[in-house]
Amino acid sequence: MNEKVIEVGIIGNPNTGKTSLFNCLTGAFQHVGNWPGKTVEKKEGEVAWKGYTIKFVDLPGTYSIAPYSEEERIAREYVVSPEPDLIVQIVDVNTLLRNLFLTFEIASLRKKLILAFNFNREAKRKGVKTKTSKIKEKLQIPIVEIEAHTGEKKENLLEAIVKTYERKQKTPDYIDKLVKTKEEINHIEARKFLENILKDNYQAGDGDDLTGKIDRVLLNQFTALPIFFLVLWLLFQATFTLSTPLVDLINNLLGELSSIVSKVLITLASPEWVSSLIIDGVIGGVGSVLTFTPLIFILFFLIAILEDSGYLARTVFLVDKLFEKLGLTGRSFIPMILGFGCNVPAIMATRTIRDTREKLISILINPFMSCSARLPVYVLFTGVFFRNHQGFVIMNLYLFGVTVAFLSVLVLRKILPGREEATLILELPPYRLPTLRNVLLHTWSQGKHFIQKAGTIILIAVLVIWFLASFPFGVDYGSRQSLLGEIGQVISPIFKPLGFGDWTFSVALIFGFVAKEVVIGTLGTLYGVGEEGLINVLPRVMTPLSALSLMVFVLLYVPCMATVAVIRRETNSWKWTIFQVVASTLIAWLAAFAVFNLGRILGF
Amino acid sequence: MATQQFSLTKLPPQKTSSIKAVKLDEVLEERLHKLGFITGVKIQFIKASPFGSPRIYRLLNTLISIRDNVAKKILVEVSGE
Repeated sequence: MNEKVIEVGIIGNPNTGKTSLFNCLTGAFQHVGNWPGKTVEKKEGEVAWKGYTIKFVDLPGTYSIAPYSEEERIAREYVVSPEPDLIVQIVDVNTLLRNLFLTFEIASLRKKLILAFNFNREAKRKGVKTKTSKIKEKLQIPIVEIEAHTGEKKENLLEAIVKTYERKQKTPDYIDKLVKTKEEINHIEARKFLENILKDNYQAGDGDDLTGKIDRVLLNQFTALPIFFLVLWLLFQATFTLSTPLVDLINNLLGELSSIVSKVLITLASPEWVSSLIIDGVIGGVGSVLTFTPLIFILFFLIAILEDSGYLARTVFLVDKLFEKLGLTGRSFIPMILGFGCNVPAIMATRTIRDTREKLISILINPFMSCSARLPVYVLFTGVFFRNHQGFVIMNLYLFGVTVAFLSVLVLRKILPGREEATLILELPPYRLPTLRNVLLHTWSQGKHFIQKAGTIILIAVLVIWFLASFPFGVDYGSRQSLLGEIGQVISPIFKPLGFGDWTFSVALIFGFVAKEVVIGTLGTLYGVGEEGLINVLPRVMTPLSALSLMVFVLLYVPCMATVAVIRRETNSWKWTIFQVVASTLIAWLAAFAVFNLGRILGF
Repeated sequence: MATQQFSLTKLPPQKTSSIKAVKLDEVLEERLHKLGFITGVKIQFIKASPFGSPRIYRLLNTLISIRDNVAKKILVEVSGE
């Protein structure tokens, strides 16, 4: 590590290649986290150059740093803080004029600034003509041309960073004329000023032919929605079907590992609780984390492709109307649909939602989208109690979940702090070919972060459940005599008004926190009949109505620990995580209570 | 040469007009300014979503999509022949 550190903030409009620039400068040495106390992602990375360590901080993509949205506030606070030695703004030369509004805002804060002109080759192809050196002269700000996608000419930028760092930079003399207040520039004046500069030195292209042609198909009145639903179906299938063999492989490997470890432990004559701690606790816990990783890696790989190609923004445009009445935008759609597969990657996908309030709402309601782990529970109970109406009952459970989600949106909009932000203002970037490097880096950093952050929480949760189920040591795992069994007996009266007051259900529901499908296995074990035997046992301990009530409860109550862990990770707040857990369990209780008691009144 | 003024939602496809006025609350107006919805800027209507709203417009060489209830409050001017 070099002694001399230059800290550089990278800023830019959305879709200008900012992430590519950050990736090509820092390579795989990135640290992904959140801005302190915020849901917005913060990425940092370093590179050694000419005796300096240059530390890059990737700021949120933003059109402005006048602090209206959370992204803008974060970017602004960082720019005005003493932390950055200088700011690099990446500029798409295709949309030069619009990009330079942000330049003026930064320059007016008297911060050292370099402009990195990007997409020069693409611009040339589209007929854009730029006299960079003339523009540099007029703007009085250093400009470097680069190709962020490929990393070409990045050395020029690093060179400029060192040079600018070592020298004084004067604030451009025209800036004061363009500033309206301390925080904002006068856009009308700024535009006039820019048109004057660009008149002889810049010629815009005659529109993007290729993008127009592709949009004629992908946004066509008749073909747009069918194509979108096909893409969505493929995304869903790829994420949840392609990952299955990988998940099975991980489970098999862990199974092998468990049996080897258990043999070793037997030869060592270790006490039974130690073996159980290692096999059920540690290996089981690591397994729970690892089984999610194929899903997350595949999903983020595909989302990165959708995003970088420019299609993701178009899907938002296509379905926005459906969300307008709910007070959300089309950005909420894809995470919601993914929730039917698994809430963990679905909640991570809310990262594509820019508005922080909308993002929070989407995270909090996502667990009401019935994930595939809940399906085995429905299949078992409907198979026993609603043999002739199985499909009908299950379909209605899904619809009920969606209804609860929508009602929750309406309530959350009323109670969440912050300004009501209901409208859509969306830039549709030109179609661009995603680069493998960017897509892979994106996938890797998200996957790694899940393992580190959410993984820790999941592992702790597994160990806690393991302890409760094993203590006092020597009892059967999760049995009536265990601490968990005791807790189950104590809390079982809570479920009596819902129709399933037997302590076995309480214990099964607690185990359901590990993963919802575990409810079935636990019941099988507790009744001493295994999963298959439940078909004979259940009709003796519950009625069809109490089974329905239980299914409603399983649909809505506290999400599994992995989901809770990603809620914590994505909201960056224990407060909202606990709110979700408490509120969803309360809603589950009330809904199951209503189902059971209405059913009884109706005579079922 | 007569000029015609109407709201952005009434703009026929591909016809170039220029923005005359943006009449929205301050926060929204400021957000739109940053994207180039400024008096005098040339704007074209490109395409509506299959549900009618939002619509896509081209301005300053970018494609921006906004909902009709916002576009309604943006006044544009077309110069006739």
